Amino acid sequence: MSGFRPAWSSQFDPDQLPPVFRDPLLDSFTPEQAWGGSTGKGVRVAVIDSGIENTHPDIAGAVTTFCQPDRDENGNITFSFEPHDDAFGHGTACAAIIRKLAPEVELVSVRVLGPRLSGAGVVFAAGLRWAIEQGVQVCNLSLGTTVNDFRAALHELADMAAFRNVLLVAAANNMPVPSFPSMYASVISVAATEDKDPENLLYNPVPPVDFGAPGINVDVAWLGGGHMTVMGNSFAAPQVAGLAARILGKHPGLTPWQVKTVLRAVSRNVREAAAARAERDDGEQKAAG
Amino acid sequence: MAESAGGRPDPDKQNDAVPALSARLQQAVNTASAAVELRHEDHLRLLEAVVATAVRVIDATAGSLMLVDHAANELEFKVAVGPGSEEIMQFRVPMGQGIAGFTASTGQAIAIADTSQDARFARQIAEGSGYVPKNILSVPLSLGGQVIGVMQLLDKSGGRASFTPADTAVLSSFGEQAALAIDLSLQTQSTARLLAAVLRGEDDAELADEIRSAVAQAEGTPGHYRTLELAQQIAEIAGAGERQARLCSAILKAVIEFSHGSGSSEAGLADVMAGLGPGFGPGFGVGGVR
Repeated sequence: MSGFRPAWSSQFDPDQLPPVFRDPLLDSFTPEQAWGGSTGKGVRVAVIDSGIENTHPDIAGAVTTFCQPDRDENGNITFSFEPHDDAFGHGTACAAIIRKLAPEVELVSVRVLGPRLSGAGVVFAAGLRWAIEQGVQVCNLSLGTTVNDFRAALHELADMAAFRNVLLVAAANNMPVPSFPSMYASVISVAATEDKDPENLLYNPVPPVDFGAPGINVDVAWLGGGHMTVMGNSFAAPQVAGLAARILGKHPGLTPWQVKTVLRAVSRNVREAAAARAERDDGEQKAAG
Repeated sequence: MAESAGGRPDPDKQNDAVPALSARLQQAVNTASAAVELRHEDHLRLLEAVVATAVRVIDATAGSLMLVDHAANELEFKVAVGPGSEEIMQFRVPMGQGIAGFTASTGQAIAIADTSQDARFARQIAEGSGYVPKNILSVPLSLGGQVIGVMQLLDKSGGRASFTPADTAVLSSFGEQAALAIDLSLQTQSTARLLAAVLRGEDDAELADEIRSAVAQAEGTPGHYRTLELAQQIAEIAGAGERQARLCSAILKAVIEFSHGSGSSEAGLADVMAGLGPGFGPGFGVGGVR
């Protein structure tokens, strides 16, 4: 059974990952240049999830805005802006991963999962739209839907986010099925790797999954101020959202496309390709000289 | 059954055939119902085997399969094997709670390596079963893009190891098999329910309700629309006269055979048509039963 890997992380196996090409324009670009010294200060990140436990030591009151869309019995969407808790622990885990990388980000908790919520797809779309309209810079989406009915609505929202400079970072689905919005071109889609260093990204040249980040047996914050060791693409997406927040903290105003370019440039496999090329060029020069 | 002297059916006596036909059809319905009951049991056994095999292959201590009850917004245990399984079967999990609820709400697989790090969480999941697992693997069961349930394994190697990405992949493929088995079971039950309603001669409003609810239950599953079409066709045929009713009965048998998985429905129905002779050519409209 060895070598049998989930759809969501197999593409990052060393023998599976297709070769990447260096980008001569960005060959010398370093993580230090991308996010060095940045704490994510001045960046607002929405976590669209099961809520965030704001009193958790790893969150330490970083949530400044709460939003909970719901659907009433007539099918109308309502919004509550009262502080809320976390239904599962999942939203807190994602928020804490972001905050660990970018401790000074301002968190916005958009709770679309939980006990009383009905019509999950509609509620999810309403929460995402609200976050985009608030002008947050990054949205972490460690969830998605495989239901085709929401394909168009979520595509429209993904476009709206791209045009408004809101970066959507989404967890790829764990199953080999199309999932929205993670498969849209304007969204950064992330799957889990076994790496433990959050700055160790892998770039996947074969879409729809763009990046691999740590998400296998990682220690995360959970309910009641606790911690848990977990595995899932859910926990890889916020690693990238956290790094994106740091990039935007250091280089305010970058578009989602530019952030993606920077993330690609500093990915481990892209840097390795650049280093290998530089070494070869060096050798050729010496041979010629 | 009263027969006319000349061997030809006497038009005045034709009505006598109706109770007999009705009895025959009733018998067929009973047989179909029994077959479906058996089939339902078979499916439960099949699901149980899927879970038990997943537990053995992945070296877990216990496993369970839950289905989403959309009306109640809960997960209902269908199968559980291993310690605490009898107790856990009596419980229902709200969709908004626990790891299974998370998987059902989001369609995301998740593994917890150590539940003991969070006492509150451990208490929550062990509530009722008396069994506190150290680690959990939870994968969604999906059908046509919808999450219909969750498969969960507890305690890899008795809790001494954690579930791996490979385990997630293996359990996911078991989950696919389980989802297909569930789909087939739902379709079989729905076929039998509709046929039974048609053949019992229940009035139209009642039948319509039954069909509506069966279709609502199976929204988005093309197989059920075919079932509905089939039931409507049979209702039409049965209402047309005795020969037609014979065809209806034969069709019912073909459908039952199909439910048992012996051959394709279309082949079965083609045999029925061929066996009934020239009076039942394609012009009869059975071409719609596809």
